Amino acid sequence: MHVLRYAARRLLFVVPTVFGVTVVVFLLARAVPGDPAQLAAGEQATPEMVEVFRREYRLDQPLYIQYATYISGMVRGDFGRSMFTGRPVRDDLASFLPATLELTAASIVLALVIGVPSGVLSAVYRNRWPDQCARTVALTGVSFPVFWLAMMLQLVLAVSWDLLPIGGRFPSQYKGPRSVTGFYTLDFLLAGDWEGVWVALRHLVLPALCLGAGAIASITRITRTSVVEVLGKDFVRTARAMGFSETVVMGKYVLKNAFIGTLTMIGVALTFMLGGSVLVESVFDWPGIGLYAFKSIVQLDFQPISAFTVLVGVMVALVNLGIDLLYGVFDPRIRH
Amino acid sequence: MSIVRMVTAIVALAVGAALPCSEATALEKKAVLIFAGNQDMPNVDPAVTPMSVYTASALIALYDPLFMYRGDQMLPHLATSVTASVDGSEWTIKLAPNAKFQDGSPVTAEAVKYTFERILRIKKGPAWMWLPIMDEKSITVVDPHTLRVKLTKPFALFDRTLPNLLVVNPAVVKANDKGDDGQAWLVAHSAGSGPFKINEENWRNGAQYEFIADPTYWKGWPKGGRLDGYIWKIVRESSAQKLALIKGEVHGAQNISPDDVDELRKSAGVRVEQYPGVSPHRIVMHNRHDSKYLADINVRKALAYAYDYSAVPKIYNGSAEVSKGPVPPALPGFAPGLPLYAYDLDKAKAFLAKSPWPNGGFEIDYIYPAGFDIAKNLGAILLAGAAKLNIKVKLTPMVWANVLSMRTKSETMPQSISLWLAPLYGDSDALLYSQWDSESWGRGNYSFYKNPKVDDLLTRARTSLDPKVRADLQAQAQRLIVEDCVDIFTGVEKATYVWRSNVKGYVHTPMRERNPLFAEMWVE
Repeated sequence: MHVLRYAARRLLFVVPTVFGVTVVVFLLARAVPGDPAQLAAGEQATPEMVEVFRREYRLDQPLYIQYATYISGMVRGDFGRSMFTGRPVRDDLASFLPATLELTAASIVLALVIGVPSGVLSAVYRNRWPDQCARTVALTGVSFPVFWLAMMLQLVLAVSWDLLPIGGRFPSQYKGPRSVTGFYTLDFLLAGDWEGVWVALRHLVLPALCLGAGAIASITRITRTSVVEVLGKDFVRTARAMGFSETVVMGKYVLKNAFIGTLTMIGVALTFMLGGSVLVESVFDWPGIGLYAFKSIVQLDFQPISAFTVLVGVMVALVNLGIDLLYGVFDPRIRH
Repeated sequence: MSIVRMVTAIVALAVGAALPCSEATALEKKAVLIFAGNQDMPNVDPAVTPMSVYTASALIALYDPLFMYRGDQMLPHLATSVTASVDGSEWTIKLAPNAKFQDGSPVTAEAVKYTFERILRIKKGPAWMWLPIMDEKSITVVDPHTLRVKLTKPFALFDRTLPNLLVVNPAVVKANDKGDDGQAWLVAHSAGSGPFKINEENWRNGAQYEFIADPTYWKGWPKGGRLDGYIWKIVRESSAQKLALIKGEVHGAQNISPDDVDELRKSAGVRVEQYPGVSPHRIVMHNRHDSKYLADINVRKALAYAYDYSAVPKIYNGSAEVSKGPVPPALPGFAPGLPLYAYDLDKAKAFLAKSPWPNGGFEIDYIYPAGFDIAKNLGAILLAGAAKLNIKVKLTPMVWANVLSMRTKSETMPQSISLWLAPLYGDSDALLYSQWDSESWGRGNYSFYKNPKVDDLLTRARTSLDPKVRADLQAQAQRLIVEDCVDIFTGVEKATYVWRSNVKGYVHTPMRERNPLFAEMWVE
């Protein structure tokens, strides 16, 4: 019950946070130089064409009316329409957000599957060759520019060795899944199409590896540091002295205590990934929300920018709440 | 145990995922051409989305124009003829009697009238071409296959704009009109008579768009074969386009960088084609007093002579030619033999000596699109030349949306900017009027250049129905623009296409640069 009350209280705090975000984004978007109506109308547009856009998107109204219209629409789940494409922003988010969430989930899974064991190995074999290898890989992961890494992976794994596809979410001529969740792997799974699941997973590997490269490195390093620290604690020595097997010592006592740092790092990685990565999405032609937001910002397309920011704000707040609650699972002393 | 199982499953999937599969070979089995385009096409309403280097293919696939650019020609398509009155203010258009929309109904003069009026009503996309010369009373239906257009002012090039008029089926649009002239519905649906239809199952926003061939297309299909359809797949990076071509994941690509072209030339199974381009680059110099130094013609001439034009093709890795004036040779109305500027430091210094700043000692801005290296390098040539005149050039990358706004007013226009512009109809007027006529200040004429003689020549050219007279007037205007050294004309990038070698039927059409006519193509 305490946990639920705590979660509800934290969720309530999200409301004023999001409200604050909407005000800041709304004002900032309008403070930047440039006339969005002129941009949307096009290079050769006549003055009356520019006025059409100004009227249609209420840019001729006072700011407070524009804001009221924007907020009332948002409350109803209507984020308006893009000035450039004429498409409802809600529809765009519905198609782009699941792609980013799916990629984020895959990247985090990869980061955990690779990063945690590497960190543990590195700590257990401190200053020996497994440690040196893991640390080199971790350093490489954080040092290589994502763009370069992506192109190298494409060149080697997709072209030279022909193991994986170059980009996209599935092959051009493959019959895509009926969209239920927007996660292609899940949608194929729900449709019972195992070949589809397979194809979707293959397309996830390279972008997830690139997006997760930094997180793999960070998780490896933080896990190593935490495990080294915990291994030196008295209770570990006591557990070993009591004759517990090394698996029990590591799994039950060391890892559980060392995982708090890793959990924090996962939270940080998640908040970065949820906004989408323009570079990864661009190189792998992954139709995610990062590229969508980037294009909207470049075009001063207010409605998508506002919707994106609010959405990311909410998601970050929820991730932070989730991480805070998970702390309690690993460390009862900070249970809420 | 559950964790162990999960880890095992993930490892198994990861290992399995690394096994090869036959996607590339599957590509060849169907007559579906996959084209890698680097731009999205989120809206295919022809009254909202103008024909551009990124959208024309899709729009022409779904809708038929009255006339069609093909090769160097403008050929009748839905229309069989267009004739003008003596002064170019009244035009009679005759339609093909056998033309049919995709739902089987005939394409009539009423449909063309509705299309024109819808564009003029919505006032978006291509409307800029007709709003200044037409109003709601301009069009009269003479009979089911003839209509008359009375312009509000004479325009001799009205027929040249007709390839941009894509006719919609009024019945389909009205059936889906929710008080917005069908705009919301036509974002991702079509109502045309074109050779392809939208495949809604594979119309994936931001990823790819599939077009299915209409076997009953009224105009018929090429004899060599025809596609079952084509897919516009968004592949944004040139490097990814290159790899997809080499691997055979796509049949053609639109936007290969000059560096990647070289590598593709050496690749098996791939064919590189290059043609003279029609979208020239220039360094726009702000000619008005707001720009201070560049308002002086001697400073502009000094910079034009200090620019090393021979370096331009190198920047494009050979995929460009040095400009031969304001208009590229591939466009009707190009004037040969203009008194162009060549790299000559002595002349540059001589002109600077005539200016109020004979020893230089000042700085000018050069703004280019952030992240666009070619634009930066074209500016670097200016920087290097200007440095020899003791003039500093500050190369500044900027988010292009900001520049688009700044350049609409003389007070906010930077001293110089990098600019490419594609002509939107097949005549020099498409560049000359929009770039150097004083009526176009801030809407193409970003130099804020005004020469009454040029204005007069261009206005007379626009009302002259005789192509020879028109070309002569335009040539005189081009000469004056060069003499006034309004801008620095740098180079014209070649139109580059890379195809898999089994792709046939491509006809290069300068006015549809980067937009293949897929209806004429097939895969062997």
